[in-house]
Amino acid sequence: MGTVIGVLPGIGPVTGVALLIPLTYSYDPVTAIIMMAGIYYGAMYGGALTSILINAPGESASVVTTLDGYQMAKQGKAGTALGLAAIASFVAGTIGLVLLMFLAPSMANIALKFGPAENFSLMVLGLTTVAGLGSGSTVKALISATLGLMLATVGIDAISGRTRYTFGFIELLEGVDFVVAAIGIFALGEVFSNVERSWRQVNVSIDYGGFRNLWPSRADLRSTFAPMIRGSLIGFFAGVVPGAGATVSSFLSYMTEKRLSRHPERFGKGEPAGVAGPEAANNSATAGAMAPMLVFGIPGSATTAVLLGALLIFGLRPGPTLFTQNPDFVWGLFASMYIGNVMLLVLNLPLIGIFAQVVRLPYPILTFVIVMFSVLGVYGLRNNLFDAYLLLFFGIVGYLLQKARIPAAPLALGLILGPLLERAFRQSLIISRGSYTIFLERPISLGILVFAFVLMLAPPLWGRYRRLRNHTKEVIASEA
Amino acid sequence: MWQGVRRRDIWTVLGLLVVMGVYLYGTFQYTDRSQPPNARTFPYVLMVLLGILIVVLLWTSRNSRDSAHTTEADLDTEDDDPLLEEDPSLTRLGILALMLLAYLIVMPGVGFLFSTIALGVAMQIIIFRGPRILSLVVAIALAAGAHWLFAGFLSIPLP
Repeated sequence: MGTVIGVLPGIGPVTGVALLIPLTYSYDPVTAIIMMAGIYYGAMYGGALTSILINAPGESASVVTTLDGYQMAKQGKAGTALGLAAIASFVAGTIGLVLLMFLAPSMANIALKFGPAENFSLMVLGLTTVAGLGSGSTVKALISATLGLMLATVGIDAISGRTRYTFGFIELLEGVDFVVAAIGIFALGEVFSNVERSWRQVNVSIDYGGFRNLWPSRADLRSTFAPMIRGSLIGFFAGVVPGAGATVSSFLSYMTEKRLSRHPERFGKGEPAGVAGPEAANNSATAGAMAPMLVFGIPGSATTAVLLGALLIFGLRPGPTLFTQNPDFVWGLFASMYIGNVMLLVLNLPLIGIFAQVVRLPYPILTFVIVMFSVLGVYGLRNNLFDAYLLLFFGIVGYLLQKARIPAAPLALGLILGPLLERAFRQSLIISRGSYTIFLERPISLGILVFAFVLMLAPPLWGRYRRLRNHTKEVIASEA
Repeated sequence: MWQGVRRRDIWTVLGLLVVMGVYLYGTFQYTDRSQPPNARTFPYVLMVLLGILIVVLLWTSRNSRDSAHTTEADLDTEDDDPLLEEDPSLTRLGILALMLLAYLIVMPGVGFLFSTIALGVAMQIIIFRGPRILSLVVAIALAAGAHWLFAGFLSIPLP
């Protein structure tokens, strides 16, 4: 199902996981989250499939794969590229999972020592890095996060018990439901945005040369072994940093491989390492992104933000205590991720032909299915049509955000972290008797805030420095 | 103040000011006379933060417009989805939004199945200009499938 979602145009992992949350209501929390994690994995691979076959990345993390993957397909090596992508995903998923299993419990032990001030700073770090490391304008991403935090204040205040921002709607007393907002902004917003422009049906020949051609040659495997390992490590650690995620990791891996290669000129012209490295990185990043989500309750990406929202719906509160209070859930999740990884390889390679046909599904039908599932999904939350009206509102919000080039992921993150952030903020202020300096007086809190500040300011300052340097070079060249 | 600022950013700022206004109005709707930090403290911090970000957005927008060099934000303005054509139509979008609104209003009266079939047919024919008979067949099949999945399999009582 995850691979199909990754392949379908207009549906990425975030939308897919958000849309399928309602289907998991009848399951127990462990089964539900396992299913969603599987969809997450599968969608990452599905994105690579369309990148290689038709030069259309299913989601942003697969953009880099088009550079060499599509070139390989044009040279008649689509099967090899698809096989390499699947093997790289498997290797990276395994390495990422092993790292997650060893690092997450240690991180949880450290997190247990955190007080409200440290927790507040950590959540600020999560929000600012998502804003700072994403593509596009940092300011707009921060605006998006602030809007998410504002939305999170709707409903009954957990500390004082007062009602805030409900504007007379009793349905809003419990606050804005994350699933309604996520499906509205990501799924319906995407539909609105695509309907505004006419959708051209994909009509391409999808030829990967049959199942036999999927297994790469020994030479290809040997030349891509190191890029796979490097990509896995880069992906995992980039995934751990909130906000960096799969897209940044795939670009980082591609640049690293190009720099380390003896033939950098081959990149962009069908180099197998240009497929294996980024594919390994974006898959390993999914495991890395799970670490901050499970340990600190801070999602590392938009998809893990949706997963976090789903965990809260099932009554599981991610954080360091999750490892001690729900060990069966945590280890069950790890085990299932490993099984999902094996299934990815076993199922996806033989079924590539079928998945490739999914690209041809007419968009009008897909749009109707998305709309129907969105409405039914949010209606099923409380059997209340008010949520469906709210969905429509958030669909329009999602569309307007796209129009204004404001990323939606920080808003989702703000909505999830808002209640936790406010509680930590006010608890800290109660402890310090109203003094805001508490966040700067505690060394760990101060360190995290400084780190957040540096991460937020580094990309725009680096960009400014680069422009200034290029401008100086141009002036010197023109004078010469 | 607005000179040199991108038109899209002007609309963004105006929209954000409306959001701020609604939020401020909402803040005054509830009374909280307890000592800070109270229920109003965090919303006030958020409003100050949003105000600062709006000023920074205007400032950066004006500066990037002035700059002859392409910024990362400017690069983000181009659509690079190869599956989409450049033919924006607000009418199609408006019709879809109205259809959905009508669908939600009508659903409790006529039931999920009929309203969903009507929505499906209307979407296929009016927005995507699909063939009538096929649109009807597809809408009936998908609506019936969804009804079985949610009402039958997941036991969610649908209208």
